[in-house]
Amino acid sequence: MTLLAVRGLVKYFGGVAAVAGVDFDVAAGEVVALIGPNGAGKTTCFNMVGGQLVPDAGTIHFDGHEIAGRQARAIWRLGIGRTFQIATTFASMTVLENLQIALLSHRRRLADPVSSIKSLEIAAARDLLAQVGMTDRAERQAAELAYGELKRLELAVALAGEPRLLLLDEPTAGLGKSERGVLMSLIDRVVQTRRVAVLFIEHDMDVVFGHAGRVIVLDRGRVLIEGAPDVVRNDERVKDIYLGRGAVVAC
Amino acid sequence: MGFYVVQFLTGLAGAASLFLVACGLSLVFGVTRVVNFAHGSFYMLGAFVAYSLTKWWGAGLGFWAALVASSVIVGALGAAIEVLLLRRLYRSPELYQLVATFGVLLVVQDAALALWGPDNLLGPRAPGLSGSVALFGQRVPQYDLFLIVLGPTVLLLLTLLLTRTRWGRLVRAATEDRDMAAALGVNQRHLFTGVFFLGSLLAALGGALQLPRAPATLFMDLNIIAEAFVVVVVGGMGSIFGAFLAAVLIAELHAFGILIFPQVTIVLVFVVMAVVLVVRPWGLLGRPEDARHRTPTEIATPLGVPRCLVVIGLIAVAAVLMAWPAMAGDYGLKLATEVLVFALFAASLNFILGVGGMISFGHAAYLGLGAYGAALLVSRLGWPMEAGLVVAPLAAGFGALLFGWFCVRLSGVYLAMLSLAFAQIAWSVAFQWYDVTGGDNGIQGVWPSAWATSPLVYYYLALAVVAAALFGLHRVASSPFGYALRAARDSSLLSEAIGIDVKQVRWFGFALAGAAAGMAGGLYAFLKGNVSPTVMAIPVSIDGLVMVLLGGVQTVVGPLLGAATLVGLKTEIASATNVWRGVLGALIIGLALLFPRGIVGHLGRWHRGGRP
Ligand SMILES: Nc1ncnc2c1ncn2[C@@H]1O[C@H](COP(=O)(O)OP(=O)(O)O)[C@@H](O)[C@H]1O
Ligand SMILES: [Mg+2]
Repeated sequence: MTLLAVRGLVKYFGGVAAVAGVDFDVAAGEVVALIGPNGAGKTTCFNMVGGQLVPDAGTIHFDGHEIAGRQARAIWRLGIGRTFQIATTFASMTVLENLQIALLSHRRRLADPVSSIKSLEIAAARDLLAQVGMTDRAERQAAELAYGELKRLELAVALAGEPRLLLLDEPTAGLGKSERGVLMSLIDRVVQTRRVAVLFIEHDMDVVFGHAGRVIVLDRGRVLIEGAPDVVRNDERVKDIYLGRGAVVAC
Repeated sequence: MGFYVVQFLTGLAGAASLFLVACGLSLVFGVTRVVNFAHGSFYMLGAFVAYSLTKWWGAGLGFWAALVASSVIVGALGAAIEVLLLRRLYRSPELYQLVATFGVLLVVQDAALALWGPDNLLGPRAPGLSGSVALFGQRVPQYDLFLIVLGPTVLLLLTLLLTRTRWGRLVRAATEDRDMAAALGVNQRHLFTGVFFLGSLLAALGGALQLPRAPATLFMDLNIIAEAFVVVVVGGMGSIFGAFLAAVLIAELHAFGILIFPQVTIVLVFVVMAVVLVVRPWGLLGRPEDARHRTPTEIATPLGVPRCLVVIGLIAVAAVLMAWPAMAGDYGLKLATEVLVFALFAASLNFILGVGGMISFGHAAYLGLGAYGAALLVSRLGWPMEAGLVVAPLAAGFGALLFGWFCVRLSGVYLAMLSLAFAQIAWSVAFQWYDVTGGDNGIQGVWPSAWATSPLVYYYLALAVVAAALFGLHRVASSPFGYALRAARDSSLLSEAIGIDVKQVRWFGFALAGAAAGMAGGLYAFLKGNVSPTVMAIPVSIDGLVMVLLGGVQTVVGPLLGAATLVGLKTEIASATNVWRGVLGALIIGLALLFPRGIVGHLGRWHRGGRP
C-alpha cells in the first residue's frame, strides 16, 4: 500500500530550482534511501514533505491526505516524524525532558500550566530511551551529549509521535564506523517492531546498500533513477555523478 | 488642495532626519548585528554640538560648517565607543549588547546635562534658507525644501557608496554573510569601526539638521530611537531604501494625523506598523531571514546549584522578608515594598526572557497598564483597592495579548525593537490622553483601602501577593506549558516538527508575563498613591532588564536579588549625587563587560568548577 506519494514537486530558491519536478512513492513499512550529491535537493524534498517549506508546485499525499503546504505540526500529527541534517534537540533540557515534551505534545497535554512536568509521561519516556539504548543518559542535559547520542535522542523524539513514516536526514553523518552500525541496527529494529516506513538520506554507500530496500537517486533537483539497490549500484549514470564529478561519497 | 500638498511637503521634510537616523542604525546593525541604543544619543549630540559650534562660529556660514563638523566629531565619538566598548561585546548575547549600549545612552544623557544644562536649546535659522517660498498660495519654509532634497540625495550617495566602492561592497558582503566576509580576509575590525563611524555620523547629521526646525532637548535621544526602531522594523532591517520609504510613511502619518486630531497619530503609527508586520513580518523591503542562517537563541544553562542550597537560600530570603518590619521604619518599609514590586516585575520579565527566550524591551508597558488600570478604576470610578488589584493584571494581560500577538511573530532584536515601540506607544497614550490619564500629571489619590494604609500592613499585603505570584510563575515554568515555551526557545524548528504551535505558546507566555507585570503595577500604584507616564517609560523597561541581568537569567532568587540591588543602588546613588543616571549607566556597562551571564549565573558557574 502506498503511504507517501510525491508528484511533480518543485521548489525555487531565488530563481534557481533546488527541486525541479520530483516524483516518488514510499509504501507502508518500506525502507527507502534517498541519495545524491550535495546540493541535489534531498533536504529540500524532506523539508517540503515535513512541512518546513512550502512547495512551489506539486502534490504530496500521505495516507489519503494532501499535505503539501500544510504546517509542520499538522503533518507531524498525521504521522510523519523527522530528524534534521544537523541534529536538533532541546539543548537546555535533559534527555528525559526532551522525550517527555514530545510525548506530552503527542497526547495534547502541553496546554497544562499547573502540573509539574516531573512526573508526567516518565514511563513512556524511559521506554523510548531504552529503545535507543540511552537509559543511562536520562538525566544528562542534551547540550552535553556526544554527537552520536544526540542523533539517537533525536530519533527517539521523532518516535514519540508514533509515526508511520520516519524521515531521517543523514542519520549517520558525523558518526564513526561503529556508531553507524549501532544506529542503523537500531533503525532496523524500529522498522521491525513498529512497522514504520523509513525514508532516509545517506551518503555512506555501505549503509545505503546494507539497509535500504529501494534507492532513489536525486541529481540537480530531479530523480535520476530509482530501484532496487543492485540495479542502482550498477547504473552507469550513478557511478558517473558519484565518481565522475568527484562529489563527496562518504563524509 | 494646496494646503494638502504643503502638508505633504512638511511630512517629507520631517522624514529626512528620521531617515538619516534609521539608515545609520540599519547599517550598523547589518554589519555588526548590534542594535545600538546609543544611536539616539548620537542624534542628540549631533544637535547639541552643532548648536555650540554655531554659537562659537557665528550664525552666518557657521551653521553650515557646524553641521559638517558636528557630524564628523560625533561620528568619531561613535567609532571610539565601538573600539572601546562594543568590540568586546560582539560575541555576547544580544541582550547584553542592547543593555550595554543603553548604559552608554545614560552616560551621554548626564554628560549632556552637565555640559549644556537642562534647558531646551533654540537653534539658529538656517542662513540663506530662512525665508519661505509661496506654493499653491501657501508658504513653505525654504529650509523644508532643502531637507526634502537632502533626503533622497543622501539615499543616492549611500547607494553609490555601497554599490560602487570597494569598501561599500565589503559592507554589503559583511551584511549578507559575516562568515564569508571573514573568509574573504576582510579586516573586520576596520570595517566595523568604519561602519560605526558612518552610522554615528548620519545620526548626528540628522540631529543637527533638526536644529532650525525644533529646539534640542535632553529627550531627543529616546524619542528618536523609538521612532527609528519603528522605521527600521517597518522598512526592513538592512534595507536603506526601505528605511527611506518607511521614514516617509511615518513622517507623512504625523503630518496628516495632526490635521485630524493630534493624538490620533500614535494610533495611526500603530495601525500601519501592525498591518505591515502582519503582511510582511520582515518589513516592507527587508528579506525574510534565511532559516539556514538563523542563529539559535542563546541557551542559558540552568544553574547547577544543589537543591538543598536553593531551599536554604529561599528560607533565608523568606526569613529576611518576614523579619524586615522589625528592623525598619516606615521609610524602610516603603523601600522594601518597592523592592518586592520590582522583584515581581523582574521575575515576569525573566519569565519571557529566560523561559521564553523573547527579549522584551518594553516590558514597562505592562507594569504601566496594570498601574493605570488600577488607578483609573479607583480614582475615576471610585472602586476599592481590592478591585483595582484584580483589574491590574487583567488590564495588562489584555494589553500584552494585543501587543504580544505582533511581537511573537518576530524574534531576537526585531522583537526587542517592536516591543519597545509598543511600549513607547502606550507611554504616548498615557502622556497625551489628558482627559482620561491626566497626561503628564498622571492620576493622584490612588490610596489603599483603609485597612491597608499603614506601611506595615501594605508591606505584608505586597509580600503575600508577590510571593504568590512568584510561586505561580515558578509553577508555570515547570509545567508542560512552561516546557513548551522552553522548547520553542531552544528550537522553534524542532518544536513545530513535534506538533507545538510555537507562536501560540509564545503568545500566551507573553500575555502571562504581561499580566504578572500588571500585578506588580497595581501594587506599585497603591504604594505610591499616584501613577504617571514615567512608570512605563523606556528607562523602567531597561531597569527591569538590568535587574534580571544582575540576578542572572533563569534563576528563581535572581529577580529578587536584582531588584534589591538596583532599587538600593538607585536610592543610594540618587541621594549621593545628581548624576545618578551616568553612574548607573557606567555600572551597567561594567556589568555587561564583566559578567556577561549575570552575577548569580557566574556564582553558579564557579560552583560547578568553571564549566560553561
Ligand atoms: N533555505 C534556502 N535558501 C536558499 N537556498 C537554499 C535553501 N535551502 C537549500 N538551498 C539550496 O538548494 C539546493 C539544494 O539544497 P539541499 O536540498 O540542502 O541539498 P542536499 O540536501 O541534497 O545536499 C542547494 O543549492 C542549496 O544551496
Ligand atoms: Mg542535505
